[in-house]
Amino acid sequence: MRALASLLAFLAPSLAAAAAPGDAILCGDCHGAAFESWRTSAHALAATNPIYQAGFRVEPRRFCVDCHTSAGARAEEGIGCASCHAAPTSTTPPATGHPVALRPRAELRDPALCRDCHEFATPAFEGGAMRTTDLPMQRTYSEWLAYRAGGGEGTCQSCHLPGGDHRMRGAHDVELLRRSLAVTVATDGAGERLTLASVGVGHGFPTGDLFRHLTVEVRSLDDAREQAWRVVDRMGRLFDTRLDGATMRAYKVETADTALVPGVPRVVRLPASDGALAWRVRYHYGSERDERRGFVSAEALFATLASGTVAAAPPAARQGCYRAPDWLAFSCARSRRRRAEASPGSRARAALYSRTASR
Amino acid sequence: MPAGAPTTSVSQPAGAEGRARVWKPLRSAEATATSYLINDWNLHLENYHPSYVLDENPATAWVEGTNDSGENEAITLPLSAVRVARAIRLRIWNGYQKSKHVWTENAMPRGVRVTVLDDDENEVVSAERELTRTMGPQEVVVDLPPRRGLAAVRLTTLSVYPGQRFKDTCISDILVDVDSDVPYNPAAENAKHEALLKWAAGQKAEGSYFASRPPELPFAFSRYVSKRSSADREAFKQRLAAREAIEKTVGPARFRPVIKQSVKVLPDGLANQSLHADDFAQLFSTERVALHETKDQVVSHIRTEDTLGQIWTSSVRVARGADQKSLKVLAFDLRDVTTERTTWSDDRKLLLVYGAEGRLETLYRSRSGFAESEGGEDYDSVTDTDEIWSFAYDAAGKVREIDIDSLARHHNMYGKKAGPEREDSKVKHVVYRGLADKSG
Repeated sequence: MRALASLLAFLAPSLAAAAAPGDAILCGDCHGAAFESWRTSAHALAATNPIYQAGFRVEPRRFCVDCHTSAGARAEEGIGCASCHAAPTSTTPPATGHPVALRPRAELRDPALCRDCHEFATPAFEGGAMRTTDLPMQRTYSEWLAYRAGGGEGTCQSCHLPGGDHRMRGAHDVELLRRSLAVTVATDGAGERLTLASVGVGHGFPTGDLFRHLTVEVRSLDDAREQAWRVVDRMGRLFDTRLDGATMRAYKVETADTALVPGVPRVVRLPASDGALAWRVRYHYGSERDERRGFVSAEALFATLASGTVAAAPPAARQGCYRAPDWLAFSCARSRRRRAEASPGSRARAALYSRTASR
Repeated sequence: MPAGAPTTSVSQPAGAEGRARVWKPLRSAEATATSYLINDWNLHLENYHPSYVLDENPATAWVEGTNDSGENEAITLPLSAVRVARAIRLRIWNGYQKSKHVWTENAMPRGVRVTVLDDDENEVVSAERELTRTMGPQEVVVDLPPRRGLAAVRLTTLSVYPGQRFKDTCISDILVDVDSDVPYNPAAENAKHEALLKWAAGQKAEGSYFASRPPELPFAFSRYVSKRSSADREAFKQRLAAREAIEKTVGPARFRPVIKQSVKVLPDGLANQSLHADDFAQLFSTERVALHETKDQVVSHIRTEDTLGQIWTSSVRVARGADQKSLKVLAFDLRDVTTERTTWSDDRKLLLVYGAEGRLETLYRSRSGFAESEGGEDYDSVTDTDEIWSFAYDAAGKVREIDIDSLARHHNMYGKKAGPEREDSKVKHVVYRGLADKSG
């Protein structure tokens, strides 16, 4: 009871007074350590983080709310304890000392538990109704299945809840992101190249929200005309909208997915330069449009994961993926698919990307 | 005058902690003011809009719109929200700096209050300053309290330097810089400035366009002003019933309309997104339209910037007059699709009815799409609207007045308000009348 009292004293009185039956604060009374860890997690910020808020400002859809709040809890609590721990049906009697029935531990350890919110289809709204399309909006679970089919180890819980750590560290932990990306610099006859590979990641990198992406950017350290950072490669998903002329039904299509795949390094050639170049790899939490709109502060939208400099390189034929990011992103998707098909034990990965490209 | 991409600058004197200021430009796409001068001397009624202080062009200015000297009038510049900042700097081009002559003829602020506002429009800090009567820029620096940020800045005129001829108080330009360690997003600042320049260019083009109106332009005026009231619901429904009968006269053959005289710019007052007047602006007169038979369902596709929005227009179906030649009715659909994380559409069905002289007399439009309000309990609120537009023409055959009656039905797809459609209790009646101008 002392834990609850101190927690209530810490929180604003109005907040404590307004606690709803499913609120995590009520669980914190007995599960203080887990509660305190969860409070720092991205789940706790699911409804209040600025990127979600900005997205919801553009698309205020109930569809979003379902995964960014817990049923029966205050919206600002985000994904609380009940979202995962409460049994989905009320036919089971409440567990001893708990207001609701709880999920069995085996279910909590099953990656399928995470699937509902981390793997779902893109909805389309037309004629006053919502329809579900074939295009996955998020597909982290499928990426993980492909990783496992290729011999990968670990589950959502073993990586993101190690030892029951409810901080659930993931994409919003910049230090974790930095440790999850290996960047090596090498020189060959054609010039400087960066090799990017995800490390210890059991899904695409980036994954999750469809607009997340990585950019490799360079700027000249010597040429005063090339001081601005320019993007030479982009890793993530790209989309377009098409129309069925017969029905006038519009549908969103994925034109490329160039996110890093586990075990498949990506080579980025740096542009030939007479002088030294600075490079950096940035993680973008939103789309390029989000960055232009300015609804979200820069510090919430970007994180620099790696950076460095390279000395002047001899002029070389421009190749790789830096000249026209959209077109090359697609060509890189094709080459990556070829690589995936060529590597042993990766049939599932190849199937995944074949499906993507055929849309 | 600075121009182009935002650049960071370092300036002296040192800040309160003895460090040099590092100024980063904050842009605005639009400014607001308590008033601005409206006149139509060059067929353009927003010559002195407050946003002109943002265009980095001293030949344009915000001119307050009161009948006296403009004391207590204020202009507000919304800025990117900066969580923590040490100071802001305003660079002000005081007066109407189009030319020395214009500058001396008009008034300009003398005493001003600079108010820094946060995201909730609460005052962060306020400071009174005296501006000088000089051409070119002058700086005003305001320090912020520790650990405070900003989201807007407001400049209120407390006293003025009178003009030699006019009482209007003017400011040509205001540039805002911030001294802050918060990461800077040049893309967002650039985008705002580009939007502002696009608006300014549009204003200029629109003024030029109407100043040289060709005789084919179907509008009698460069600006229409609206007046709202409500209308009888039963009478509206009886009129709407006629639409069904008219639709039955439309044949199955499909045509691609080819426009002889294109309307590139709509008048002020009609050119707003919710009116969607550009959906049919090319079709005011049957004389303007040639029809080519087609089997295509979709005949036009407009992709807006960055694939965010796409508009598909169907081919048209028609009904002819008794002579089997004259065009009496024209029907088509539009699907206006926006793609973000999801896709959603604003669908419009249009039925155009022409009078004896081949002029558009009545337009029936049905719209279906998400309600325009954002967030809160209004999410997934769908609105279906039936509208009847009636057009009145002047002796020269140009549109003098447009009356629009509309009745909306709403339903929520989810949530507490989900359920059957709710119909508005009143018919919304809006009259758009042309505002007489000197060449009207």
